[in-house]
Amino acid sequence: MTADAAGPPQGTLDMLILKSLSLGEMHSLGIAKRVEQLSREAFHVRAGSLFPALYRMEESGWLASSWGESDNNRRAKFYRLTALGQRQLEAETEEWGRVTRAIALVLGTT
Amino acid sequence: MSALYRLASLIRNFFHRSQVEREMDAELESFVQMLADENTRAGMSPEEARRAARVEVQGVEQVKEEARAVRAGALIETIWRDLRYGVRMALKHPVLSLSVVLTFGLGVGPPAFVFGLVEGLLWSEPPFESPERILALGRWDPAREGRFNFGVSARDFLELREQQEVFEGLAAFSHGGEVNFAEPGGAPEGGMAASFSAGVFEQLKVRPVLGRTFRADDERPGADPVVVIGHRTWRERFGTSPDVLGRELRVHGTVRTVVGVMPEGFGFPRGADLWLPLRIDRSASPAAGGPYYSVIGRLKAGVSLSQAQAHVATLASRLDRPRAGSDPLPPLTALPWGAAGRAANGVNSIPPLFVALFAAALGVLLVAGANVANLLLSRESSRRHEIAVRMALGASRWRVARQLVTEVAILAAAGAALGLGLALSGLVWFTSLAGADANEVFDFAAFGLDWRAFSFALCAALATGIGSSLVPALLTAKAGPAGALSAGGRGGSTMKRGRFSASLIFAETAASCALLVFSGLVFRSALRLTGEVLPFAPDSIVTARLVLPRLDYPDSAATAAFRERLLPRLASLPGVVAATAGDRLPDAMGDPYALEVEGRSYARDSDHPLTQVAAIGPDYFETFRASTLLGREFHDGDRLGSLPVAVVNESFVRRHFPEGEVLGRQFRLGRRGSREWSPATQWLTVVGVVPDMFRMGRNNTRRDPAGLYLPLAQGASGPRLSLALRANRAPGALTRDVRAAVGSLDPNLPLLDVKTMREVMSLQNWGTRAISRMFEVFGLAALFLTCVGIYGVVSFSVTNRTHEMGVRMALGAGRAGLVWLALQRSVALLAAGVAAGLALAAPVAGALRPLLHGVRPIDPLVYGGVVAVIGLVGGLAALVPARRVTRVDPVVALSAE
Repeated sequence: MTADAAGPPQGTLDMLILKSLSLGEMHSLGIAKRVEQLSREAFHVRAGSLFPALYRMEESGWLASSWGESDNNRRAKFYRLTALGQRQLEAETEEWGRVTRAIALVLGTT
Repeated sequence: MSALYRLASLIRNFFHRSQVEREMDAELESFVQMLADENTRAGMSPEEARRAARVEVQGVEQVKEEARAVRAGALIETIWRDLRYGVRMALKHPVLSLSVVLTFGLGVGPPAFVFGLVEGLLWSEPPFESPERILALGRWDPAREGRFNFGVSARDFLELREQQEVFEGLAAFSHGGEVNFAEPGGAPEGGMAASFSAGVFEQLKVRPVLGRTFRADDERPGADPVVVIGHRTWRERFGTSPDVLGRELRVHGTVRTVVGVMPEGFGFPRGADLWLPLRIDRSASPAAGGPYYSVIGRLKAGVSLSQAQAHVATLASRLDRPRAGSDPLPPLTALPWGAAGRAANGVNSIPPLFVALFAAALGVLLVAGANVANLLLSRESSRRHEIAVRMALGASRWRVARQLVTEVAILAAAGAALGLGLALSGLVWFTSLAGADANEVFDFAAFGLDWRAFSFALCAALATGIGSSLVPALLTAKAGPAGALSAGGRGGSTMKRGRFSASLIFAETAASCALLVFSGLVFRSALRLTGEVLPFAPDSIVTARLVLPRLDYPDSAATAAFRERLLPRLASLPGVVAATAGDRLPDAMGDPYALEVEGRSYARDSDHPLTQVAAIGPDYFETFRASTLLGREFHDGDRLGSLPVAVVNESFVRRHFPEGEVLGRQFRLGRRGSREWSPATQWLTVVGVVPDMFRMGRNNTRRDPAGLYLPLAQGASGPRLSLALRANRAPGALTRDVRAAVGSLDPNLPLLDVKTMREVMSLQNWGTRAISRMFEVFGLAALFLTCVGIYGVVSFSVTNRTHEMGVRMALGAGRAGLVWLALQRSVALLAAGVAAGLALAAPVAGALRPLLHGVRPIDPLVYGGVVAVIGLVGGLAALVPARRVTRVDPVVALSAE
């Protein structure tokens, strides 16, 4: 966890969380670590952004949660992707691809 | 799909808030714990690890706050908190809160009441099951003549009933009229009877509680006479006995068999007590002018209004064709019943009088709003410190303003509830007045408060509340924490506040001045109506009516014979000074007759002037203590076959014989509306002139008091007779004697509508009196609110200027001078407000003309009186608090800070 790591770009946190959960159910700290790991420590997810995002997505029915035991025998709340969340991830991934391709195109021409 | 989850979460967050919070706490705790575990594994001591984890999280409480903000229903949560805080604040300042609630109540009550009135008048539906599915048939041409005509001829009805395919059935009824009825051997009583064809009850979806309603064979001429009775008659005459079916009831001369009993509360139309089968004469040709019925039908399931209207139009065009060539009638049309009723009475739009009434009521609301704003301003200064602290602690200006507005909204809602209560009691009062009147407008009209009136009152209160609290709230919020905390309440914004509340007082005074002018005008006209000097004591005259059944009194001669036997008996009753009969009482009004004065020519039918006519018996003028001014009264010589004579009143002379010469002049009477002038009478010769004291109907909208009298003995006597007896005895005992006298001549004849002349007169103009009373109440409410406002503002400014007054006093200012100083501003505001109010009232007062009964809209007495009242009451409201200035002790005032 590096001190100079920034948060993920605006509007992409949901997608990153959904993506990290697509590999299996996970607790909140695990999600934060996974995002950091997958981005090679480029992104650092603050608790102040993580929890609002988790609750919002849970209330939207994209995530489901249940209490369980962590690897170190700590009680933790585990989140998993619902079918609705899976569809949301696909839609966001596709949209993201479209946007990045377009931006790459714009930047490539100048 | 997502929204559904959101809703479920909202409910969970709202109702299981503590559980949701506990879970969030636990989750964050485990998050910190796991971070600490990691740190420990990286080699930190347990304490260090835990501290580093907390630093990493950057404040557990902040994270919770951010997480709460995204939860569903976060906004509701804030509002809920504001509401609870608002209620606490309201309870903390009970006097102020109560004044605000009362002010709101007084302000919202009048417009909600008028709203309920207008709604009852315009939107009431027939009181039957799904009334919008019941259509009425009638002739209506909205383009040519606005009024819906309910009359459908017998032939049209029968044809339509057979051919139509869109209604469950078509049914006809006629309102019928007053009848006398009694079970064999019982005392006769008067009631209303309506004639129904088969199927009327079925279209209304009203079932009898006992027996049956009418069948098709009841309509046939020659069928057994039957009757369906109302619940009241069942109770009072038959003791709610179930074996009433098959019993006999003598109805207006015919003995009928009771076949059905209707449920409690059913009295359609016009409070009917009995229902008779409608006898439809198939041979009656509509050209002969009768009979016409009201026709209704309930739409079959699945048939739309427009389909039904198209179907009726098609059938009607086939029916109307054969008579083409004669004068074209408006087409037969089907309209929803309620709408047809309104179209028939011409109340499709709000009458101007109600617009004026509504404007007056809104004026009261405006005054109330200004008052609320003033009250809140005075609170604002006391709360400045609290608000400043909140803002210093980081509350945004918007957040503070929202809190203040929420507080007012609570008070406004409480005020709206109070206002609705006031409005409801007003509507109950109005219904009790209207209930005594059988006016057709009120056939379906029910005056109450429904969700529309309810939301109207709430919206009015909230709009007023928010409007009046916005300026004080913004002023407070704008002051900012620094200014408020340091200046201790005095500074630039006090000036601003002073200007704002001065403009409020000005507006209040102007509005209530205008309202008082209106109420003064209607009050004066009401005085003119009720305070008129009558030549007789209205309580000393007892009146009653008789309706002679055609079966027992088949012709004019029989009626006349009965009358001539009755009147001497009445006159000889103990205590009776004079007794008479007529076809109407002096205060009532009938359809006017058109007039043709001898020697004058009229180009068109409508050029014939209209006049009121009453046919009277002997001693009529003596009974009402009018003496002839010129010529003679009627006497025994005025009989059928002798010279047809008339007595006219003074206004008639002024209007129709301005040349002066009256006795011996001749005129004829007729009816307007036919194509050619066709007089209904012979030439009538004027033999006498009486004073105008018999205003021929004081609610005469044309306000033309011209009228004339004909002798009953010379005309065809109708079945209706009004009796009047002037006596020096109590009305109660006299009524028993009169009833006995009538009963000795005809035991089946009940005495109807026994009333003193005072009661008759007050029934005639209840509408005018009711509306006058409303204007008076509105005006007084506005005056009261304005005075409260003036009192509040002056006492507030006196309190605020204690320091200044102390300085002035210390420098040697006199007490009177100081009081004047405190008053000065209010007096100037009052004067300006009154001037503006008068200027506002004068042009609008013209709209009240129909209420004014000859009082001019610019009546100097009323305007002067209003100025005096406002000057006096407003001045007092200012003077009382201003005098407190003199009690200021300069030493205390100067050391107060």
